[in-house]
Amino acid sequence: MKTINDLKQDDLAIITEVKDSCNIIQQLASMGVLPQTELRVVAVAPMGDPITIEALGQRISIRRLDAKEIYVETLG
Amino acid sequence: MTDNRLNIALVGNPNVGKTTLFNRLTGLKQRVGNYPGVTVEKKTGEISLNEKYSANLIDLPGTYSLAASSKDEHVVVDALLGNIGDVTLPDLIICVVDASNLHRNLFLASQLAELEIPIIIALNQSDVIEKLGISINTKLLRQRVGVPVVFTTASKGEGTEELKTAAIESYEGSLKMNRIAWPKSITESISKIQSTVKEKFDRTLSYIEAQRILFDNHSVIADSLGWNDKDRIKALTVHRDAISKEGLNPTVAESVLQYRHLGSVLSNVVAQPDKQIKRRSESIDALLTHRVWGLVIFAGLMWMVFQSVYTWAGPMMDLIESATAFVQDAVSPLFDTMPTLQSLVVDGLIAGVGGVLIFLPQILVLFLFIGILEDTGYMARAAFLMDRVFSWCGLNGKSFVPLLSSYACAIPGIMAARTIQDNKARLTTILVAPLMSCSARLPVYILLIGAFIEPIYGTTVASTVLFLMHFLGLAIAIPIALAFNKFLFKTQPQNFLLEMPAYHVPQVKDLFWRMWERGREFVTTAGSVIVAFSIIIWAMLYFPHNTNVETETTAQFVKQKAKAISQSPVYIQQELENNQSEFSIELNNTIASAYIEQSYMGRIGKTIQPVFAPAGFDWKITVGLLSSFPAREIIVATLGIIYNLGSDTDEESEGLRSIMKKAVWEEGPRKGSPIFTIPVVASIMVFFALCMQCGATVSVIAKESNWKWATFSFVYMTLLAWVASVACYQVGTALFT
Repeated sequence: MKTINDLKQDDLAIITEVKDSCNIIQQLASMGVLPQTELRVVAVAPMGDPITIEALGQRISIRRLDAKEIYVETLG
Repeated sequence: MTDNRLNIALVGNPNVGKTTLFNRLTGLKQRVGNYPGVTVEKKTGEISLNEKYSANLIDLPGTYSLAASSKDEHVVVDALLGNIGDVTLPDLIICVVDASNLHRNLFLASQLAELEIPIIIALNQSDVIEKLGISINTKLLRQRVGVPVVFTTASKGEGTEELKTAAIESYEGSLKMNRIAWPKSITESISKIQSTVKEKFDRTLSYIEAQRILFDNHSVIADSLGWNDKDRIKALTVHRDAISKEGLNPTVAESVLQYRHLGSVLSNVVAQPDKQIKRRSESIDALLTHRVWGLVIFAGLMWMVFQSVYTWAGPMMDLIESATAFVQDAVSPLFDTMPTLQSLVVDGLIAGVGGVLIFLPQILVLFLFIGILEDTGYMARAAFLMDRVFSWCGLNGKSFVPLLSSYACAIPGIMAARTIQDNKARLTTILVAPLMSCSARLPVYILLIGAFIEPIYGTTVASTVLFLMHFLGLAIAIPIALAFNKFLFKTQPQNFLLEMPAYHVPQVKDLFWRMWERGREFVTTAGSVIVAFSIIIWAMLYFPHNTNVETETTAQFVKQKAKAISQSPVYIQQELENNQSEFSIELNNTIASAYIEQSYMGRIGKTIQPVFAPAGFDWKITVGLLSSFPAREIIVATLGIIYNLGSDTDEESEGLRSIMKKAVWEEGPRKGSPIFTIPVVASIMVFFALCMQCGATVSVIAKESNWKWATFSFVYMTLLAWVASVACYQVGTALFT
């Protein structure tokens, strides 16, 4: 199973599960980032962390620590 | 308060232009303050809706959800539920949404619907959707949500009249937003929570309060009940299990159901163009958040900000300085018959007020740039780029701007720490910001390096030392921040989640409004404390002001001078009749010095000199150091007075430099040997680099956090400075002798 951390920049993926252990699960959920949401990694910070994802027409920066709790399936 | 005056709350996601809308609605009729007990900015303003209704508008902090995770978000929930002291429950909510991202923005609106307060929806940034070719069927949307939906473009002031009409319509018709139909497991859980709380805490929770306890991982409402996390989670298990049985993850059930609901509310409401127009933001972002170019641009921008704060503010500060001196000179003769009052007004009051105003240029310039960085959306990118560099020692990507500007002056730097939402990182930033070598330390470095290091070791060493002095504070700030983070703050750091808002062109009006607000706030709140500080220090340097000092000093002066130049005392006295003569200037300076020695400050300095003896300081340095606690640059003038040179001395003054070189210990074991040896010079500079010798900074920290932290910062920096300068002197002496 892949997590967001396994995605490369510009990879398109769909969320399969966000673990309850993810610190920001409720914050992401309230922004609509839920299972079945499509996302793309649009930027990686200079030291590899944090990363910016694009989902539902918005860009959100999250840390690797939280991204590893978000499972995805790559698309196309 | 009449019935025709409504309380209206402005609520919305961050970065939707809510504050711009607030500014357009209220114009200049707004007040800025703080919510009781928290340093979250509270903005309220008066508006007239029509002939019949007026309103008190409150601009609540931006939030994505009622599941509050930050202090700002707590305020929103507390205000909407009437749990904050002086905020009355709103009669109406204006929910400001970003028209280009309806789905996400309406989530908050759908949570607000549960409050059952009349609501209207402002579709802001309608100019942006026009450009993107998106159209929204507001008629259909209004039908589905059941409340007025109004297009606004806050940046251009469009739609405000329509918004007012809709507000009256919604209030008079008590129009509430259609709510989602919750599954049975949720409605039942909510009523069970209500009865549990009634039993346990004897409080009747409203429907929405119980709902928030059910849904939120960290509940503000449970906190206010005193319901601890462990107990609450245990009590909620049965309800969460019930929700799980219906096939929902209880942690995100609210979002899943609301987003599904909104999906049907929005179907056929939003029409996207066939071919989506690529947002300009995307291509700009590719450059600005690039691993290499992003950093290069960031460094360039920060250099520009620093240069501007440093150089633009300079001429304005000089102007304020000369204006202060001008007023002092103009006012002084008015009190010629009352020397004590004269000194109080001129050296205490006017100097104190001048000492407040001197910070204004830097504050204004810095907040102009912060306004631009925030309103364009760049600040979020800067935080993204810098997060890793700062987060490991407990700071935050947004700590960069406050720390950098602290190199010019800690006052605007500490005020700039407001941009950091994470409370822990914000406090850490505030506490280490005064360690950055501000421009007020420069005169001290220049005086000492110019007098003692440059003549012996040359320009290269001198400039290297100057650079090292600027680096010292930063180098010490890192372990200090780490230590604070580990030992001082028990709370977990706030989660990191940062939206990268679309880029905007900032509104000049809003930029100036913010500059004005910050400047006004500084002068009115921190200003009074700074003036009070400078008057206290003035009094300590002035009193007891026994006039015997003057007669005795004069008599002694006449005697010594007569002997020195082999003239009769009568000749000296005659010379002294002429106020402009060399002798009388020298005498006046000697008297000023004697007064300081006799003042309370002088006595305290002599008494506590042993404390500073391990750092190599004599009583003169000690007095200079004590008197420069309100503002460190004062040391130069104080040393000037103590060394009989008058108060007009500056750091380039050859007189002061040469007299310091000649200074020797008057008594004690080192009698006759020079005071200012290299270890002593280094020790003084280290002390100034690390000590909190700035009353203005202390009062700004108190204002931005509280007096507890202000006192703490003062104590820790003073101790740190003492330890470091003692270490520097002892090690230096061991090496050099």
